[in-house]
Amino acid sequence: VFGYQLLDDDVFHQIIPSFIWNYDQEKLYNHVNIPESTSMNPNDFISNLPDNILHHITSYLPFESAVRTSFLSTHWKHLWKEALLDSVHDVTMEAAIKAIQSFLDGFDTHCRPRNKWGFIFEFSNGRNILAASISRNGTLRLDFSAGKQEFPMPFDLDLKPLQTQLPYSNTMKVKSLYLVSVSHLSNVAVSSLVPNLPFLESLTIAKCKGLQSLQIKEAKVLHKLVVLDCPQLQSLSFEGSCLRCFRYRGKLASFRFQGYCKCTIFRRICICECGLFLKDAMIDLRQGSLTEGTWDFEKPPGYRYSCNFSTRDPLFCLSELKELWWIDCSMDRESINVLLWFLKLCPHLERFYVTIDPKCYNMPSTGKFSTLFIVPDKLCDLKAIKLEGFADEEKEIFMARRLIPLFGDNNPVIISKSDGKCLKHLMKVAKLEKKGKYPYKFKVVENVSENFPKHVHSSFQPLI
Amino acid sequence: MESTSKKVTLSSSDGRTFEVEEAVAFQSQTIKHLYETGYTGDFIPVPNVTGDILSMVLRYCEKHVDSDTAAGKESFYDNKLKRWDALFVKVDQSTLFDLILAADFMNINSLMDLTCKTVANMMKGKTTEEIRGTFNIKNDYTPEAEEMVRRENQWAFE
Repeated sequence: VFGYQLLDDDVFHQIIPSFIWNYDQEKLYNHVNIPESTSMNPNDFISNLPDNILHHITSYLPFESAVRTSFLSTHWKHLWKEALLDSVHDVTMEAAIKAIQSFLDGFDTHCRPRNKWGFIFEFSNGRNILAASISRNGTLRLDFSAGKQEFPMPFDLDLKPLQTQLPYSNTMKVKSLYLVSVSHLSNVAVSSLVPNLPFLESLTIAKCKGLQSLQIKEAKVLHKLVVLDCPQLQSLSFEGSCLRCFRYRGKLASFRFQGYCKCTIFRRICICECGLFLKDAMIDLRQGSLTEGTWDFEKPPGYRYSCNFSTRDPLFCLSELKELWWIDCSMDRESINVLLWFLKLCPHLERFYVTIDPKCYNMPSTGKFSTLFIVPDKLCDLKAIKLEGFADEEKEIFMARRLIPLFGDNNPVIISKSDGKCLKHLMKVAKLEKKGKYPYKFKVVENVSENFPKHVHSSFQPLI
Repeated sequence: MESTSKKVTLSSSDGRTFEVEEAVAFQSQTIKHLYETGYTGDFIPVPNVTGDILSMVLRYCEKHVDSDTAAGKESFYDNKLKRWDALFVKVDQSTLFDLILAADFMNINSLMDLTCKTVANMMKGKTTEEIRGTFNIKNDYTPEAEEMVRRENQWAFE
């Protein structure tokens, strides 16, 4: 189809005297050496184009569309990065962070070069690569995962998203930060950048091997914290006033939240607003179970004992939690005990989702909870429970039996979604079942989803 | 065109020859550079480009060489040229991509931009599945791998 494909090297050199085109060797080289992929559709003209041309085409797309090209096929996976990010070689980590900072400071949203959305830094040590890219909506992603993976050295990460200086007027307001595969080599540089991001509302930390402790301090406007797959993480502490959303996947060791106190005395009446106002949480325990005592809620520094707490310590901390998504490998007796212990912390839960992932490796139970007698208070606000991925109805009933004592006077809807789209309602039946164990059974109900409260997590996909 | 202007002859990969004004051929930076670095012959092989495509490219160059002279900068003329360009790239996909390759090889910036923008416009506002359909791109991801890529890039859409 293309002229160049018909020419092999010999013919090529016979036709053109080498001196004519040799100034442009590189270009010729690119043309002649197009990888022949047998898996490609011969009518797929576009994927057969040389990369430099695909970069040119991609650079004319809006940012989101350009990123979306990576979904097309493996050939397109990294093309958008090469097209939209500046390649910088042989820099130090400090220089890279400086470059990112000045890039953000000079970021002009309205009039900007079409193909400049960040950098790919290759560091002088030759091992580390940082892809720094920014989305149109102010999400900055620092991704070190393309570098050579080495044995993870332990390190701590201290982040203070606190305004240290007034940003320039046209500074890109970074609202969301993704830190991927930060290592002991890059953590200092990363934590030096964060104080310059005063508008940070959302922070995602993922796949940071070697990360032992994570401290987030003085996070004034941060309202979403996501920590995923940091296998060595032993402690996480958070201090901030408006965390609303927390998602965690991994093996949890120690967790410390410092709440917030806005108590004021107004005409001798103490107006108290204390606590951590978490609204929704996702806890994914597929990599290992929680152990008791890992959740530690500190009283805020301004806390005074004169404050009239309506709920008991430490329960107040998750008293605002309305929605919980619990993910685990199985729901055996042990796992349910852990879950019940956690439910104790969230007395005002309204919507509760349990997802079982039968494909994941089932960690042997530690037995820690088996001797504990756990009776959470009644969850009087609970409106809906959704069970997903359970192996069979027996397992669902087993789970439901443990949950039912928690229901107050209200009778929450329990629905289950196993394979396929069929939703079932758990209903009380008048007559006892044959074995007489329990007067509940599942009844298939059509169009349940219409009545079921909207799952705010359903729009949530960034499980990196 | 002035009859005195110098002509050059281009030869396509399938042996067809085209005699054009120097100014037309020099829209190609590759050819221009060639002469600037001392090439004196009046016969230039363009081995990567077929006669059909080369004739289209030269038609484009002729049109655009006019735009550089005389009325070229007037907006009326400019609009007219844009309309001409829009019609020029209304071709089938294989021709369009051959034009891109020719523009890249001959280094004609404005043609490169025009053709690449045309392809980008064919992708804009389409779903991944629609783009695959438009360009016959075979999805060679495993479902798991595709899911991974989607998750990795989810940040860009928040």
